[in-house]
Amino acid sequence: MNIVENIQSVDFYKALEITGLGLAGVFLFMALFLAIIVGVDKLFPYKKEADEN
Amino acid sequence: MDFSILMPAIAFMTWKHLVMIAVGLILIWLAIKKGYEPTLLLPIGFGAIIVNIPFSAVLTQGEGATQVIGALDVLRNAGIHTELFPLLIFVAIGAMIDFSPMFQKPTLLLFGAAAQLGIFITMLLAVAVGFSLPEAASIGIIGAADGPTSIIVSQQLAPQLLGPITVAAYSYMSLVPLIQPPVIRALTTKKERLIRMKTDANKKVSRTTLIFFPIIITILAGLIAPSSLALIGFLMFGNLIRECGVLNSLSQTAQKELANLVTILLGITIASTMTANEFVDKSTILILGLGVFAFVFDTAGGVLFAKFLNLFYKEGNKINPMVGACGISAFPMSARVIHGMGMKEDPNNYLLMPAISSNVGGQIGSVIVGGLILMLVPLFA
Repeated sequence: MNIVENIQSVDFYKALEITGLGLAGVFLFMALFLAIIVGVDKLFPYKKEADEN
Repeated sequence: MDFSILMPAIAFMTWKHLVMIAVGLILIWLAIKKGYEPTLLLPIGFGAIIVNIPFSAVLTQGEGATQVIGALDVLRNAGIHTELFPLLIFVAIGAMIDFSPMFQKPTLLLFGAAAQLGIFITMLLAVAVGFSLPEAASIGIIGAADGPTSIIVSQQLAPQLLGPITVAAYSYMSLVPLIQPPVIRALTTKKERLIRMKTDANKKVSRTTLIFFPIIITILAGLIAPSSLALIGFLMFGNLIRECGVLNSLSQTAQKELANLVTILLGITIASTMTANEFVDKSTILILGLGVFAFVFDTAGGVLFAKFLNLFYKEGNKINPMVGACGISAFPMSARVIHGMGMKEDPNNYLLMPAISSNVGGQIGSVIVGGLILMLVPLFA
């Protein structure tokens, strides 16, 4: 196991790219979900009568 | 008569088999005595014993015409290689999740993204210690704190590491009460841990909203990352059964009978990968070590993101950074741990609701990251 060599390897740089894309992707997804939650909640607000029926 | 013919199991027993039987006994002890994820660790532990007795009939023995198919190999081919068992577990989990706490403070959903940091840091560490990219990504996914996601990702990217990755994922999920508190204390001040959060505990969510939510999320996730559809689709399908209001019986079955049946089969089938030859290896020890890093960096990611957001929030609206740590998928354990820590600092500080919201976000986040990794790694590998 040569850590220094591994860090300089192509795989490590690929892993760095995946890290960047993955973190950006998951934040993008969650931000979209956040917008959906806020939007759907505003579109279909809770009404006591409607839900009881 | 030759002893090895009369008693082949004893004659061919090696120290590796004995180590694995000991591992099985430890897992059973952790499940029964310590109560650590007993529904999975007990079947896995018992399975580890029965697959490590030489010539065990639960595994396929012999070749050609004399081959006898083992029951666990049948289950492994049917339930793990096809990903059927983890996906059925997702239906059950979906039926158990109540997404309504997320609607009380939707911004907490973002912690479900921040607390996935450990997955990626661990992937980098795994590459640094010599694992290939697909193996490293599978090891990183231990940080999803989500057993079924770990199984699906490692089954697709590094099936040879399925056993240790699954054992690490479930073991560390059960160790959340031991792993998270010291990391949180190291990264927060007493003043930060005392922050009280405003939540609208009385806010109610309409049934229509709760029905639309899983449908919209599934369509959106499918359009952006089709590879995530198996994971998110089955999770949201289970949730739709729960929220639709017309399938209560199916919802109850998914939450109880389906969850129990598949969990029994999943646990013992995972154990079929824990044979001495495959498991007693230097890489297993490395994977178990890297798994701890995954949980530590997940926790750190959530806490540090909360501190970052607090730079922009006014006094009175700040987030207790401990809540950020709940962005992992270990539900509801992580939320309970944070609530307990909050009560310890201030007995009148109730963090349970925001912690649950963040924790539900973590359940979605872990599945999304699983899908992203399945999409990205083959593109780069």
